[in-house]
Amino acid sequence: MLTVSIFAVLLVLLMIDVPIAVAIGLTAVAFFVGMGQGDFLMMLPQRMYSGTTGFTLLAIPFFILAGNLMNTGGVTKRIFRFAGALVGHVPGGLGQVSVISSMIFSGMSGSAVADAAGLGQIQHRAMVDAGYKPTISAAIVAGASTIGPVIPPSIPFVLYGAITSVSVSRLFLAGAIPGVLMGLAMMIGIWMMAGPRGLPSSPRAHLNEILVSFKEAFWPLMAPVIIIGGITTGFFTPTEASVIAALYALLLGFAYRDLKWKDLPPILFASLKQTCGLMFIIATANFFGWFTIFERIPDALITQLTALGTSPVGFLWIVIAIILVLGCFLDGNAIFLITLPIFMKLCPLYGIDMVNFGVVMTLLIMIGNLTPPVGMCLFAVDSFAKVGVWKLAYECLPYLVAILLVTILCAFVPEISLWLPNYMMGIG
Amino acid sequence: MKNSIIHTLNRFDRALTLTLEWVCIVLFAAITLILSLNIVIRFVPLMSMHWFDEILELLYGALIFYGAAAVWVTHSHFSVGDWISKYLKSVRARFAYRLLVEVLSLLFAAVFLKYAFDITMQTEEQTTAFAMSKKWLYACMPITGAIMVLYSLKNMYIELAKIVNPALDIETGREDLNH
Repeated sequence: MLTVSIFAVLLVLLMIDVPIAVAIGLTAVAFFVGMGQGDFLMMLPQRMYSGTTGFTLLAIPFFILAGNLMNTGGVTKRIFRFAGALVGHVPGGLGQVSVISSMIFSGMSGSAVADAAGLGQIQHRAMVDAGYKPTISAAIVAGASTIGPVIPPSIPFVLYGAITSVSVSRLFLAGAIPGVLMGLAMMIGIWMMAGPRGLPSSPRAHLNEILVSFKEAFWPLMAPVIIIGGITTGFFTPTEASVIAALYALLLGFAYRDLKWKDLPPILFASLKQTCGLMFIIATANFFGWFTIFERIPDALITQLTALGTSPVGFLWIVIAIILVLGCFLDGNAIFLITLPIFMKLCPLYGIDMVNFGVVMTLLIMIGNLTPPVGMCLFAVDSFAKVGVWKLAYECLPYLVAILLVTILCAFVPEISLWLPNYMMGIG
Repeated sequence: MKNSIIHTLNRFDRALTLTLEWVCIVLFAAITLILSLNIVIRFVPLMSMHWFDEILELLYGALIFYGAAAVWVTHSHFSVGDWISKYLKSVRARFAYRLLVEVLSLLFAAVFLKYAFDITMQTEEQTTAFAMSKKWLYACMPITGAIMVLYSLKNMYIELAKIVNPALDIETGREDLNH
């Protein structure tokens, strides 16, 4: 009953447009006071401070900055041209190009919203100019942008690692194959829709065009090699890799002369604003997480699930259902912060691998990014496509199904995500 | 007279936002420098970096909380978005609804300020490397809390003024970070 009341109050506060950070913090404050435990409010600033200043979380501002710098610094244009030369001739031409370019860009940026807002604008403009209906084009862009946080590097993986103490390097590697599967599933979807919906494709590119575009995109293509290579060889930690990614993006921007010194302060502050908005949610959610544990909510859930005789498969279906519902109303990071303190106590009980669980959770919150009324990628794409969030969400349905299929596959066949980290880093 | 007060307040807003923006940029530059130095030192051991964690914690804590204050000043923390106002027919009801949201925000900011101030004043702990009082680490929280309370009061005043006179034209400097 207490659990239901807590989440009901939180949901009401969120739905009446109280800032997410405030809603999360205020819910915990209200219940502490309401239950006559006001003395524990002294833990509020302590938990907020300790929850945000961890070394792992330092990666977040740098990955956000790297994405923003690449969008401004001409990197996205080069990747898009290269992807066009590779798959522009396949049925659904530019749609396929969008998915491939998003997959490549994912290897440098860790945020779906940054992918949608930056690369997405170039993809959308190119598709509309080629005769795609704006809603179809916007849906492809929104769907493709969700690949970003699954293929490493990834901000949700950093956050998941910080909350659950699972190795971020393992999580990064675990995301690679599911991310590629997501891309392939979307490409198959576009290929199937190309005929019935009249999606045009371009003529096959000459070898010369492929080579020229590859040469242009060579240094941006090296970014994932440097980032992932550096982490797996132990040259640097994921947090340090984020700094390298940002500095590399800066260097490329200046080298291509697409970035000027005067562009830096606005890009920096825009990135910092996104970071601090997110980190303040993390801060209050840390207090909320502590509150749920203090009130023994995970223990109560364990007792209930055990009494119901829930199997590991049943538990995973419950998780999928909960996250899909929450994903309609909450930002993905907030979902992590609210639910993980509870789930991380339940997973070992059911013998579920925490690395694979991180991949499944990330895939689920990517679906949440495409479901209204609160879908961050829908908002980001609609801000420039102007097709209407609900129409866009409807058009995104095939991509939602594609991601859901990959999610279910990864949830019940953990080897898909675990093979690469186990192969590269040994069985953890 | 009223206009000149609002004009002065808006100038103060812009100055405060600009100050917080530059404080954040400087803190971020320092973090970048230290993290880069740490990678270099690993391969070229020129100096000891035993102070690394402590300084990073200090800088990152300050960056997050001052950044959060800047986002609060511009009224742009992440939220679900206002979908309720369009269903409220009366203009006054819309401002009353906005006032309710501001009151809830103020409530949280006030609790945060009180306990952040208490912990900062009462802590006796010291950091390991520099034996520096942890008051310096925690100081960013009451400062942020105070800015949040001030701006929540300002926003409440604006919503209240609009309930009394819905035609009132006050620049709120509101900015949307969500979309």
